[in-house]
Amino acid sequence: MKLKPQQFAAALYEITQGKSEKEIDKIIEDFTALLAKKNKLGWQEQIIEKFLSYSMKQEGIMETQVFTAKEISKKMAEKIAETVFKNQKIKVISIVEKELLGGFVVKTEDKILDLSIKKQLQNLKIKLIE
Amino acid sequence: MANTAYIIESLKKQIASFKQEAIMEEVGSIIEIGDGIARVSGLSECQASEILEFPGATEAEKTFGVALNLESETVGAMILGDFKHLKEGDKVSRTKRILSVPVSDDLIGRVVNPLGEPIDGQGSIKSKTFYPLERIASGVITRESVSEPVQTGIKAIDAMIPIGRGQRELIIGDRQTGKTAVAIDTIINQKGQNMICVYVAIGQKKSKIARIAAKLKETGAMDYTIIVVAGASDPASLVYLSPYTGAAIAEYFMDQGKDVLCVYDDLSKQAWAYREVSLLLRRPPGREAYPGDVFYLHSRLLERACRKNKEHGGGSITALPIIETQAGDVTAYIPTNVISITDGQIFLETDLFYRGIRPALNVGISVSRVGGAAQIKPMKKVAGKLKLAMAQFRELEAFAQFASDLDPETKRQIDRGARVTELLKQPQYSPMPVEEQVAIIYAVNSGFFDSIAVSEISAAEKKFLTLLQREKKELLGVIAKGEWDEKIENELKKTCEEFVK
Repeated sequence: MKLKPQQFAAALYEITQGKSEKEIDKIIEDFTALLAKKNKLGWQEQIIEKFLSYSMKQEGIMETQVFTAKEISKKMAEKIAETVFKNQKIKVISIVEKELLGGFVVKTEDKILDLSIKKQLQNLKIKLIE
Repeated sequence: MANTAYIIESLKKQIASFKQEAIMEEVGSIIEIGDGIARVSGLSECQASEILEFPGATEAEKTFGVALNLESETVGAMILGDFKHLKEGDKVSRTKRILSVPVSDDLIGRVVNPLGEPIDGQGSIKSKTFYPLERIASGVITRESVSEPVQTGIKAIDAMIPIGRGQRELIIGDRQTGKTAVAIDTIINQKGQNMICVYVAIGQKKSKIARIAAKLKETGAMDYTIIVVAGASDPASLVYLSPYTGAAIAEYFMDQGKDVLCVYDDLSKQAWAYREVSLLLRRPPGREAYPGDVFYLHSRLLERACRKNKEHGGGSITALPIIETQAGDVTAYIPTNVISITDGQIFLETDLFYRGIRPALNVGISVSRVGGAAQIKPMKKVAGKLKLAMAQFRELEAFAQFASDLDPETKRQIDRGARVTELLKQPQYSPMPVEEQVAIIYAVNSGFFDSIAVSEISAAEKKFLTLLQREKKELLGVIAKGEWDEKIENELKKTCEEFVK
């Protein structure tokens, strides 16, 4: 069977679950040896990326990006994200994007809520054309 | 100007009434794209055959796609239309709409693409109703057996391979044997027969489609015809979808209680397009590299042809699928599939075509499994004899080539057969009303043409028909109504006798 970075990441997450730091050191050593044996050391970055997203998914944390036109405080970004996605554990990343003009956009892996001025203007444009 | 004030006023009103809306959109992104197929991540709640919105080449127009493969992490989608501007990482959003086409009565006389957009340059088609492309065929309870005929206007078909409203009759043959001609003649003959026609051109040359559209317009057939076009230059996704669009449009008219004739020209090209899409989606190939569900591809389409009973509106869809064979091989995968699905087939052969027998029908192996029930009574009476005469002729023909001295009975049968064969020849774009067909077949079968040389048959036929039209209008009218008794037969006999003299 062909292995994918996703599977390495998932496996690494499962075996490191609930282990002490000492044990983890040993596991990582073995894991690296396995990667070397399978000739997959080049996948390091992809595996780390997948590992992060996998562990967050397992722990029920959602990564959320909040786009705004001007810089806002971390607390405010968190508050925005929390209002949008109620009752969820959230990790917030705040990003500044001048093109939005105003308002904000909240984005997770597969959902997007666009409340920016830019989008509103686009909608208005479509409506006026009609 | 006074207008300026009005414009500003209405603009203000529009803007004031503009509400800020916030809808949670479900998005994914393209991870792989090529050959009109995109693999999209995210979209975890996407439905099968849902329309997906891709960014367009310009901001004003969007590109759409259809979700076909729903996998654990990704969605395989085929893109409808141009895909060159799409790139990895582009945003894809759900529309929560199943693939459907706008339908309305305004479609009649128009040429549309498989998405229901007009391509004949005669303005947009207004409609509020949408019909899904893929719909489960009508159930058993709503159906009725075939009881009314479709008059194709082609003597050989109406007499020996009759088609009923709601039937699926396959037209099969090599290239250049006149398959499309049979279908187009049938459409032309539907004038005044209370029938709506849908012609679906699947993967055809644009020049051929233009020629057909012009011909239909010239003969006045566009007044009740809709043409759905997926040309040879269109992407495989559109070619694959086009017959379903035709079926959806046909269903719209059927639901109004109308009779619809739907021509799919041709389904082998659709199977090729589907094979292309399937292979690109990495579905495992099977026989002739077609995917496992090509049978279902055609069966679900043709099963939508039906005749509804009175309680369910009484409409019907008659399907005339066309299949092109390669070097007369009907045992290839697609021909055998479609032959087994349909209620009969019309075989066209290259040999016959070059021998000058046009339409090049092979009446020996062409059949219609249910159409007999739909024939009008006079046709039933005269066609029975015709079939017998043709069968005997075929048997004796080969044998007679080597024998010089034949007994009078055999000779008579061969002579009759040769005359019937001659009679069944018919030029393109000249369908014949059923009552005239009955009269002429009766005349030949009863031996009134036996004294006329074979080469003179078609001229004699024309003379006989003009005589009928001039002097026996009432008799033709009665036959057209489907009445047949001794009195009518005797009158027809008398007319024939007069003609021979």
